Amino acid sequence: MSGEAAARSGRQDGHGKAAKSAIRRKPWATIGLLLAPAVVYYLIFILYPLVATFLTSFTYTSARGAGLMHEFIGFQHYRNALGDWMFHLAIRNTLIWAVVGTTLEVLTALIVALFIYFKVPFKEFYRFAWFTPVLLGGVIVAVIWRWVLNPSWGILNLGMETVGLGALTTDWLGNPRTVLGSIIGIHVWNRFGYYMVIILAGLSSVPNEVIDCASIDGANRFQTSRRIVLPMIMPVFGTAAIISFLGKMRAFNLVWVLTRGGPMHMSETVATYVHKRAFTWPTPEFGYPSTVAIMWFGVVFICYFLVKRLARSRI
Amino acid sequence: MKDIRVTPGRVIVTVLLLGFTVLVFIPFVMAVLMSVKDTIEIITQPLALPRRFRWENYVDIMVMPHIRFYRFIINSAVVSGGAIVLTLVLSSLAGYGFARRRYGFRYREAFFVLIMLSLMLPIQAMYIPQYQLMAQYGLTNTRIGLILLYAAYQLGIATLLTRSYFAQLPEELEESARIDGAKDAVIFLRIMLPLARPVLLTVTLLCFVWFWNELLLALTMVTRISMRTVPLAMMYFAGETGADFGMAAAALVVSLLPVLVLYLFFADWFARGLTAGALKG
Repeated sequence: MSGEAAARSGRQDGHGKAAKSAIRRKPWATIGLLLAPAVVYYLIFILYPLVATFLTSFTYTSARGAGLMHEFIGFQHYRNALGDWMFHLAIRNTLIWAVVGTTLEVLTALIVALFIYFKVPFKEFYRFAWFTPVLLGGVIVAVIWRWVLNPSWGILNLGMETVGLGALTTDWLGNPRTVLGSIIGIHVWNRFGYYMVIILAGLSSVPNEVIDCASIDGANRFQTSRRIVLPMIMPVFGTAAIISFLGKMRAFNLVWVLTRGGPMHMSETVATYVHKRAFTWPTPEFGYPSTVAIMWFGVVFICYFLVKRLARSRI
Repeated sequence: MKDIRVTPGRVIVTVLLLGFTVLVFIPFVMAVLMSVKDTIEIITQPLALPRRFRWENYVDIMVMPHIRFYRFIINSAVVSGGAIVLTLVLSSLAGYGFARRRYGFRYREAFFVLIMLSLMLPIQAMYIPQYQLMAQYGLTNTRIGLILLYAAYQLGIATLLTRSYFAQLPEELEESARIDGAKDAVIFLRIMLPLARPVLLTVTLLCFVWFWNELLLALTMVTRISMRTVPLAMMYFAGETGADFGMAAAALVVSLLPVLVLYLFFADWFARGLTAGALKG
C-alpha cells in the first residue's frame, strides 16, 4: 500500500545501519498493542451483534427455560412484516416526524443562527442559552414536558386560556390527533440548538469580505442572507438536515417516556415498536423485532447513501 | 464592539430574542419552581413563587427508604466514569495507531472504515443480541455490563476524533525522541498523550452527556431497582401514579445538575465536542 511505501522511502536519510534496519522493520508488536484492543472490542460488542441481528431475523427465537430456542424459518418474518399494520403505522409516524420535524428544526436553527451571525446585542448569551436544551436527555425532556402539557394544570393550557385560546386546549399527549405534533414540537425545542451550532460553524467559514462587499453594494441583511450566505453554507445545512433526519429514524427515549407509543399507537415509532416486540410483548420472541430493525434500517441506509451520491453528483 | 448605539431596530430585535429565550427557558423555570413546592401549590399555581420554599423535597428524595435517589446517582456516576475511562483508553491507543504512518499496514484503512461504520448504526440493529450476550455471561443487572456496552457505542466517534487530532500533530516530535532512543511506549505515554489533552477532554464531555442520559440500553439490561441509572429511575419515578410532583421535580433538577454545572465551565467545549462528529464526518 502507498502508506507503507511512503513510510519506507521517508526513512532513507539514514542514521547508521543498525538504526535503519530497526526502523525499517515493521513494529508489529506496537501496532498490535495500539489497534488490537479497539478492533477486537468492536468485533465483539458491535459487529457480532449486528451480524447476529441479521441472522436472527431469519429465525423464530424464543426463550425456553434458561436458554434460547432457534428455529430457521427463512423469510417468514419478512413476509409477516409486510402485512403488519402496526409496523406500517410506526413507519408512517416515523416518516412524518422525520420530514416535518427535520424541516422545523433546521429552519429554526438557521434563523436563530443568522441572528447571532449578524452580531445582534448579547449574541454570546443567546448562543450559550439556546444550546442548553441539547444537553438534556430524552427522559428529562419528556418528564418536563409531560408537566408542561398536563391537561389540568400544565402551563401550556393555562397560558392558552389566559390569552383567550381556551377553546383550543386539549390533552396534548392523550389525544390521538395531537400526540405526534406535540412530540415533533418538543423535539424541536430539544434539538434546535444543536443544529444552530453546526450552522454557525458553517457561517464562520464565510469570508467577511463577501458580506462587506454585499453591504457596500446596498444589500440589506435579508438579501445578503438569502442570496449570498445561504448558498455558501448549503453543504453544512445539508449535513445538519441529514443528521436530524437520521436521528429521528432511531429516536426512542423521548417517545417512550412521553407516551410509550400511545394513545392507540398514534405516536408509535419503529424504535418503540422494536422494543415492544422484543421485550414487552406477551409472547417474547426475538426474531421478528430483529426483522423489523433490519428491514427498516436497511431501507434508511440505502436511501441515505443514494441521497448522498445524488447530492455529490449534483455539486 | 465597534458600534453600540441604541437604535429602534436593535431594541426590537433584542426584545424579540429575549422573549424567545424566555420561552425556551420556561420549562426549566417551571421544573425548578416545582421542586420547591408541594403538590397542591403545583397544581393550583404552577408558575407562581412558592409561599414557602420546600427544600425538604431535596432531602426527602435522598433519605426516604423507598426512593434513596443517591443510589441511582452513584450507579450513573460509576457507569459513566467507567465507560469514559474505557473509551479514552481504547480510542487514544487506536486513534494514535490509525494516525501514524509508522504503524501503517495493508488493511489498516479497512479496519478504520469498519469502526467508523458504528457512527451510522442505530442501537436497534444491535441491542437484542447484545442483551443475549450480556445475559449469557451474567452481566445483566451489573454496572460492568453497562460500562462495556456504553464504551462500545462511543468508540467510533472517539476514535475518529483522536485520530484526526493525532494526525495534525507534527511527526518530527516523535522522530527526534526516537533518535534519542526513546521506545514507542514512552513516546506515546510521555509525549503524545499529554499533547492530546484537548481532544481527550472533548471525548470525555461528549461521552459524559451520552452516558449520563442513555435510556434504551439501561432499560433493556437492568431490571433490578438497585441497579437503575438516573434516567431509568427518573422515568419510573415520574411515571408512578400518585408520585409526588415536587419530589419528582427535585429529582429531575438533581439529575440534570451535573451536566449543567459542567456546561457553565466548559460551554464552548460542549458545543464543539457534541457537534464534532457532525463536522468531521
